[in-house]
Amino acid sequence: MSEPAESEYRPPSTWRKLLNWNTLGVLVVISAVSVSLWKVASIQRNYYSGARTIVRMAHWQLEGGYREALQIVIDDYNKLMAERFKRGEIAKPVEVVQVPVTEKVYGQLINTNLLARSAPDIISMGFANKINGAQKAQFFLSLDEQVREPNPYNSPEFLAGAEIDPELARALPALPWRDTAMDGMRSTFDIDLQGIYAIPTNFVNAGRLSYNKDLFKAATGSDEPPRTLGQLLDICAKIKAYGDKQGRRITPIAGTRYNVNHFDSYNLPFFACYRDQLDLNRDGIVGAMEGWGAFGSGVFNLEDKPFVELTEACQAISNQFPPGFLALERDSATYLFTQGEAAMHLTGSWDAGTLFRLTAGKFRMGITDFPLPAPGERWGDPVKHPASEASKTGGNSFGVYKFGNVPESIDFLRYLTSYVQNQRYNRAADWVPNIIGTSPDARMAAYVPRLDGIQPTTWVPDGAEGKQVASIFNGQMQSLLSGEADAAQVIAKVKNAYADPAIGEPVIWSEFYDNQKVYLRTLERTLAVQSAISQIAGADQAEADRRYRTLLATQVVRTNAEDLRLIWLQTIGAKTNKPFPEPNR
Amino acid sequence: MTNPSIHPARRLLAPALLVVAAAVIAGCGVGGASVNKTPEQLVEQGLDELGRYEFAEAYETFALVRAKAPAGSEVRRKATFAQAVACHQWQPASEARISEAESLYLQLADAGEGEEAVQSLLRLGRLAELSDYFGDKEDLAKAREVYQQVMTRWPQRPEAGEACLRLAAAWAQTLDPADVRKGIAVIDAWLKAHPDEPKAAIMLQYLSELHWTFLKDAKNSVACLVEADRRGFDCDGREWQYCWRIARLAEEQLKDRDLAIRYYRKIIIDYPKSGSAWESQQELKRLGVEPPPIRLFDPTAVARKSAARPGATVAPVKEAKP
Repeated sequence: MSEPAESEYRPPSTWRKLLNWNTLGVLVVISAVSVSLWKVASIQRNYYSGARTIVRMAHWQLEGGYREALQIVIDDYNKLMAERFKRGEIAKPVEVVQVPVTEKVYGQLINTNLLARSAPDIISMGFANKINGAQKAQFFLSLDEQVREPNPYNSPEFLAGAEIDPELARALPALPWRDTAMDGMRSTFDIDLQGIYAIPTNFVNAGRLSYNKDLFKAATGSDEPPRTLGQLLDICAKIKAYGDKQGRRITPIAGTRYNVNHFDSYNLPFFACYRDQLDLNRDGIVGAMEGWGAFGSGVFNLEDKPFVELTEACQAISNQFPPGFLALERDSATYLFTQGEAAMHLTGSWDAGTLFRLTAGKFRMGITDFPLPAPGERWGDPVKHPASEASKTGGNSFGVYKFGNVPESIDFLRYLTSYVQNQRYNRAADWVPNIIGTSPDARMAAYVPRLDGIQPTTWVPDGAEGKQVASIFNGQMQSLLSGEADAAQVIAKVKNAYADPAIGEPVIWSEFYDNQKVYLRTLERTLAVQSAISQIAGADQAEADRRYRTLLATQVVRTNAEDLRLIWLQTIGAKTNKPFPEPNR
Repeated sequence: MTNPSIHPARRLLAPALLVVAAAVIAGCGVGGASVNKTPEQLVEQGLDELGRYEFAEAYETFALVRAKAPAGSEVRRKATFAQAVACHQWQPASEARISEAESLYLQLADAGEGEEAVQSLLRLGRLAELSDYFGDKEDLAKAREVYQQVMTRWPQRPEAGEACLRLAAAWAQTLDPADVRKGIAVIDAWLKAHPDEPKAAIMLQYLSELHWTFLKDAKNSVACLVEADRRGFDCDGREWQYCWRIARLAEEQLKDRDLAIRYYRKIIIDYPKSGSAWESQQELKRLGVEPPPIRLFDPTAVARKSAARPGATVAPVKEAKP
């Protein structure tokens, strides 16, 4: 083929010259910048124009259905505010917007914005370290005054047409906001600051099994949930056999590393038998050092039947989890369960909405309590009763940012926790409401706190006290659950750690004693500051006196932390004559 | 190594600029707005800072009030006390700050005027009793002496009741049974002389602790708690624990079945959210008594406070969603 003659060459037209990859790149950049500018401008216009009050509400609840449920209440509230604005009852329209943020960055986002004075108006209290201690008082509003007043959204006009006990309907409008919460807002009362800094909006409960009724029926012939641990293990065996018969792998329980915590609550029924021996001061609670004292003096032995049987029962349960479950995330369990590859999912109320939505149309799902060994069953001897959940307190609590739109934020929280709206929001989200007289959707009934059961107090070598030995205990228990260690190995490792003078007994006692001295000194700070302020500013004297007395009672009863030395003397000291391990102060 | 080619004046330029910048920034912080305020406005600002635990700022603000307010005035006295508190509670604590706080408290206590004098003396007791910084030694003997002074000089002031509690605790801290008994005697004598003491319930609760936990005297421990209950427990959320102690000790040590029954019932009825209500029901059954029902999350329990009504229970669980 011959080359074209020079006279035949035509230079490309201008538009052809312009239409190349470089131009396209420039156009993409310009478009992106324009969209960003437009977005920034519209955010500025919407949020900061001053024409409306925007109340931003940050949370990390990304589970299915939660945001939609919250939005239902928000939409209603925004509509109500628009009507009030039209009637001239408020100066500016108010609009609440939710700011959902993944829990992976929630803490950093809140911390940064609190410091920058640009935080959302209503903040879900969690993950961020700036919401703790004295910093809480620095950034968040004390809601003490407000919670003593009735919630205006519980007035008769807002209860009209609601399904409510008539007597409660008469009492509710006059009840202080605090008393309308089932837990009396105990969960958000900060004992050190002596105030309520957040409003709980529901109950969060864990340790329940979601189960696939259809798979149960196919594998066992019944869709009834297990009532005892023996029944549970029996169902698990039948499910495995059914899977084998079907030529597919079916995991009985979709466990993940998050379920390790479940076994902490499983300890309670096994160790309840020790309580009277451990509770030296007869206050109904086993304190951390009462536990260590019993451990060090041989009252509580890991070789004893309760611990050995606990490890066996825990291993039997974790054998029903997928292999390598300690490396699995929550999402993996959700996937296995909702795809029908696992028959049960051990999780908390926060996941229920997601599971109901993802399994809808695939199979029937039920929720049941996680069973305990029953009398006559293996491990049924040390276990007498489950732990009571009566003292459970509300969760998913929201604080009000001190430098935000405070009155509007308080007003929305009142709306959200009113009888009608709280029940509506929690039923829509498949959560458990926290306002007296309300109830969840029937399918969430299993998550309602259990009343019958023993005081949830016990002790294992766990927790913040003696944390180095505790972390060895926890690590060993994880090895046990994953089948890498047996009870004898766990016991040997924990006992060796306790006997190690660098991390064991003397360190546990001297560190805890020192920490308690520091804690009591911190209470002293609060007492001194509160007393000075009420004396100089002449605050509400009755309330100031009440708070002061409460803190004083908490502090003085500890006898400047010498109660710990007394426990030592009554336990380890009495048995061994060892002197108390003094801290280096 | 210094570069000889740079003129010495130029070497000083950068540090000088830094010093100027720091001075400007520091000046903006305190001097700017605060110097123009009246002492009363500054007191308000200082209290706000104190309430936010910003002790350094509060200290500066109250120092400014003291500089502005006339000597001997009430506002100056209050500012001196607040500055002492800021200095005392400053974190991290140091020997110098604690010494300064002590000297300010002493000024006020010695002057003996107003509420600040009694508060200052009480705080001096706390300074002696607690360890405030690394190496600070607790001085229980001095603390006891100061608390006794508060009780003697101002027996009608509310601080005297606190001083009595503190004095008892300062005795009990040695753990010597003879000293614990001295602590008990201090409170007993005080309650006898001041039957209307506002902190009586706290004192009785503490006496119960000393009698049982320290001396294993169940009879007196229970008697103190029963009296505290008669007056109304003064604590936040621990009431059921005191009831539990009464019931258990009544059963185990005193063999007083009726008293045990009374307090198991009280746990079920008054503290259904304690987590021990169901166990109390079991104990009552064991003792051959029909237990009352647990009305947990019952609006009536709450409504009683607001003089409402008896009878209702939690609303029934509603029908399932379609």
